[in-house]
Amino acid sequence: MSTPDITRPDPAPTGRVLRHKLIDRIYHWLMALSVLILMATAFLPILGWKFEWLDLHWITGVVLTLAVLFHIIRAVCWQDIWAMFLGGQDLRDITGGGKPGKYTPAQKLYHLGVSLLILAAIGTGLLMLLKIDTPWWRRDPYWFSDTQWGVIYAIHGFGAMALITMVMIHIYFALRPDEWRLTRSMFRGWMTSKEYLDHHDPKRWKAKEDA
Amino acid sequence: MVVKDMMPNFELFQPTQVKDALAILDSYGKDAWKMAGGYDSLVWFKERIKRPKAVIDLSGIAEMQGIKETADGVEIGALTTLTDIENNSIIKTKYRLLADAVAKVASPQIRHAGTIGGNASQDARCLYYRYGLPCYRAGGTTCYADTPEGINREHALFESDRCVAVTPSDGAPALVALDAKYVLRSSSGERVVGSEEFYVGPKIDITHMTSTKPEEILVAIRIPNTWAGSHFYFEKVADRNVWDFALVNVAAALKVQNGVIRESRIACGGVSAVPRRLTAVEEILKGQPMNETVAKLAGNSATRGARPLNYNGFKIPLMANLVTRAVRDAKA
Repeated sequence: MSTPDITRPDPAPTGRVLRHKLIDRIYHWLMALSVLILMATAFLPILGWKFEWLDLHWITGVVLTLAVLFHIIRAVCWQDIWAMFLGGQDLRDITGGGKPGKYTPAQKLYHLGVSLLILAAIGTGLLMLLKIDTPWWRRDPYWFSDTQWGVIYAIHGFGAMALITMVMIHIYFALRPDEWRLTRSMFRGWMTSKEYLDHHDPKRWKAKEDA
Repeated sequence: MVVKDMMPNFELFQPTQVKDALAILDSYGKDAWKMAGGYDSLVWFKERIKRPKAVIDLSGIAEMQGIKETADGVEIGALTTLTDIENNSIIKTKYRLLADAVAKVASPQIRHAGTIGGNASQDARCLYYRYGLPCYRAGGTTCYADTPEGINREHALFESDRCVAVTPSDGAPALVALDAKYVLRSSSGERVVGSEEFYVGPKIDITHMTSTKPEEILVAIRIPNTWAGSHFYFEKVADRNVWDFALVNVAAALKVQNGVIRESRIACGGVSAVPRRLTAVEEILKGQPMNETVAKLAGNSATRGARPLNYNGFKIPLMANLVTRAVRDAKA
């Protein structure tokens, strides 16, 4: 059975195209929940809300790590990893006003920033697990010197603080009415063919019809 | 490096009323230090580890001193000295557990000036923390006691979370066993909390031993009638007989009728950051005869869940034996 060619210009396109598969949406919301829990357990105690935050924090951190690992493997092996990297065409889009592929240059830049911050927070957070008792090991802070720990904590703290800004930016754009099609697609997976043709270059993002 | 020569400068305030002390607290916020008897405070200052901008010497506030009977029990001003509590006739006849406990604190000289508020709220005695290292309790990011090489003979068996320091108080377990309530006053009002809320472990707040907020003062401790005249037992084991902190202590209050334990409250100090109430033991004891077998069962149950560190495994049999003795030997 042949797939309908929805990239062909249609004067009144009424169909839907698939933007995010279910598995990618699950990953996105799992990551969102993890980041929010991590931020809450990190910052609320500092703001004066006293509760048992540590176990929830590190367990959520491990969940986020596994989710990110899954995402990286999936992006490398099963998805077009270059679709999320900034390239020369993106720069030409910014200056020339052309339609983007699946992601805009701003989205790619945002993804790059969040990726670096989350990887920094995860990497240092995993090292910090050495300082607490887990089901797998007893703590031992002498893996690193005090100075090295200082650097690790500084990177972790900077990553966490910067993520607050990134999350605020993300939520702001997700709630903007002109970006609602993207937010909806993260809930339901699809965008309309009209939205697809209005906002994206079908030559650079060959979307499939939503089943 | 700890410098033990002289205290750094601070503004000293000596208010005579609680409201004045609260006003000073409000104006200095976290830079203020509340001092009662001063035995803990002055050491911190001399060692230059704590450097408050303002010290509020509460000892001149008459309202916070003395013991008075109320309709519900007894109210002890937070500045009441340990000696006064030890010798008070109401405490001795109705709440002997507390008199027995405070009589074991430090030395007679210290008990003459040390207060029940200070004793109940006192800070951890972990040697790494006291030495001024940047440990978790000091606001840092490492526990130096719970490491492969850490010296942790005096440290926690239970509920440690990064910090393994314990409550060093002798009065606190007795107050827990007597179901005491803590009256905390700030310029915005007063709140009365039970021991479960007053004492906080490192899981909740790693830099404080109690839930007293910077703007609050512990003005009094109320002991209800509930346990007045019960069977009591207090015992403290330390390296020295005087002027030493407990390795483990136990405070027990038991309601006994015809040789049967109807109800009990038992707490141990020196085994966790907060006085550890032994609720599982209390459940086991309900309705049981007060004898050696039941006492041994209580002792063995008390240490369930203990996680010894490298050098404090001895505390497990010590705690078990103390609880056994408390249940077996409590007297009215």
